[in-house]
Amino acid sequence: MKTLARQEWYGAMVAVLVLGILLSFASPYFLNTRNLSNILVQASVIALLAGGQTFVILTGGVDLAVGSLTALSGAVAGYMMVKLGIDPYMAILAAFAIGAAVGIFNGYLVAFVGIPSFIVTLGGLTLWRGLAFDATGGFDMSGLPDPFPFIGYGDLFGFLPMPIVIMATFYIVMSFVLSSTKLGRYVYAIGSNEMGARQVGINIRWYKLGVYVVSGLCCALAAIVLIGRMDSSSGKIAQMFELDAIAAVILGGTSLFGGRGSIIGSLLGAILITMIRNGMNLLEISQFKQMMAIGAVVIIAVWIDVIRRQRLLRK
Amino acid sequence: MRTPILKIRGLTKHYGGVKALTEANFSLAPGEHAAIVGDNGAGKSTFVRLITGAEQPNHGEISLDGEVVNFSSPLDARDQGVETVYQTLALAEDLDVPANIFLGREIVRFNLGPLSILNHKAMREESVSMLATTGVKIQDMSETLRGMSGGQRQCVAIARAAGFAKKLIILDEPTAALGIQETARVEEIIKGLKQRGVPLIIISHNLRQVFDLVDRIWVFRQGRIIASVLTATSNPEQIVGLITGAIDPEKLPGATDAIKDIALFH
Repeated sequence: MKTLARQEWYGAMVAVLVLGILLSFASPYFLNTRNLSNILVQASVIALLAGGQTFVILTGGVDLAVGSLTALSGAVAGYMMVKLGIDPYMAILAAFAIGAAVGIFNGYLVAFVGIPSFIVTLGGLTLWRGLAFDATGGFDMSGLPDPFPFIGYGDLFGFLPMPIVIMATFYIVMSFVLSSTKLGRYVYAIGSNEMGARQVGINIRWYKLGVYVVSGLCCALAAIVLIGRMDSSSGKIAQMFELDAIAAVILGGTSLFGGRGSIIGSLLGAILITMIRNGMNLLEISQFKQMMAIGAVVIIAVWIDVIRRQRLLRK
Repeated sequence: MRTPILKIRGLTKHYGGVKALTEANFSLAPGEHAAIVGDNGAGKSTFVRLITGAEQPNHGEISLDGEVVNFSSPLDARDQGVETVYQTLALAEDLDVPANIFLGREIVRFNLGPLSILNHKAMREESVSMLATTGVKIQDMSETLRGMSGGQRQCVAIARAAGFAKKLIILDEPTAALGIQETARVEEIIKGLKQRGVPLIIISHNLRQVFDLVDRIWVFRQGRIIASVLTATSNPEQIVGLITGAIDPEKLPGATDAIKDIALFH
């Protein structure tokens, strides 16, 4: 077994602990159950997006469209429920169908046509956002039917906030998929050595398509949690969430070059980003400075990744 | 005479006007180790691509263990028992040893397509025994390949090929990128395969190595197989002469016998 210090997510765990200790000294409000629970609830949407993003990044790709796709899934589901009066479970199904369809679209262009994922999803960033507004007429849809209030605010067994329950369940499942299924193994193999993976007979095109579908489905799940928490939906939701999701994955120790990383790291990364935001709010640091801080953290995380990669290659 | 494990007659591949390989005859006896030598552009790579299914010949016949075969792809060749270790090794550096050995043919607990559940324990145990049989020593099986030397990686790739090969193994320049000690390690592994009777074809530029390891050498020159000599009755100077054209194979006693035999009897 790899020792703890050599796990990719070790750095993220240390960062969460150190930042936690610093913040509990800096602010009297940080270290109480409600604030900690709040951090996890706030981290949930980013964590769900980061989970799918991890699969994509491990293959050596990137999905820049997750924020926009979350908006598309969420806006359409909201529109169906509020404006059209469609059954909420049908709307949830529709959200997942949209996530899967866009995933297939992205995956097809990346894996079968050969367009770099960066370009496909950069186009998608504005394409799906535009479609989200266009398809819903730009309306704000508020007052969502059951089970959305429960998904957003409900507590399981009276004390476990649903977003945390969903996030935890999701990470247990994804962690298993990544470590113990063919898909998970091939995700690493493709990210390590795509040519080699093809030579040993892995159908890399279908597996690459698969990771974009996973990411698309994660967007749909994130959208459901997000609109539940906001009790409303529109094309405006989840702006810039792709940045937080990618940052969470990179902060979690997953390499942007593919092949190396873990799903648990992405969860820690999502928590870390939320903690940074939460801490700066508690310390009354302005929104502008927060934007700068998050951007700087992302660059530093990638910087560390590049140095780490060069060390490994020198071996 | 026993049925050859691999027998090739009249194998030809032309790309337009370029005659990459013309009427190549070749045979490999059970348990035999053979080397393919020749200058760059002599047709070695084309020959290997044809017998591993990477390309299909214009005409000619490949028999594997007495049966005529047509490989539609490298995977097809692999499924029929021909394992190839490419120079690029086809290993995933970020995965551990058992994951690499079983890459693309994992043992699963439940077959659920892409979501098939892996049987880590079985693969690990099989890997340990495969490495032991091949004589490859790996200290930590759960270490990723990134931390290993080129020689160790080559050994893992050979152990994988040896573990799965039902008919024969093809090694493409296995020591080209290795240092002296690592080359020696890989050569030991290859000698072990000889003792176990695993048929093997090695492509190598290193004549010292070729004479050290194999029973028979097939010399390629200008898109043809021009000679087949036993290492026991030849020497490196002769082989160099054949490769460069300084020695006419027709005038070297016995050098073309095996090739002509294949052409005559089938």
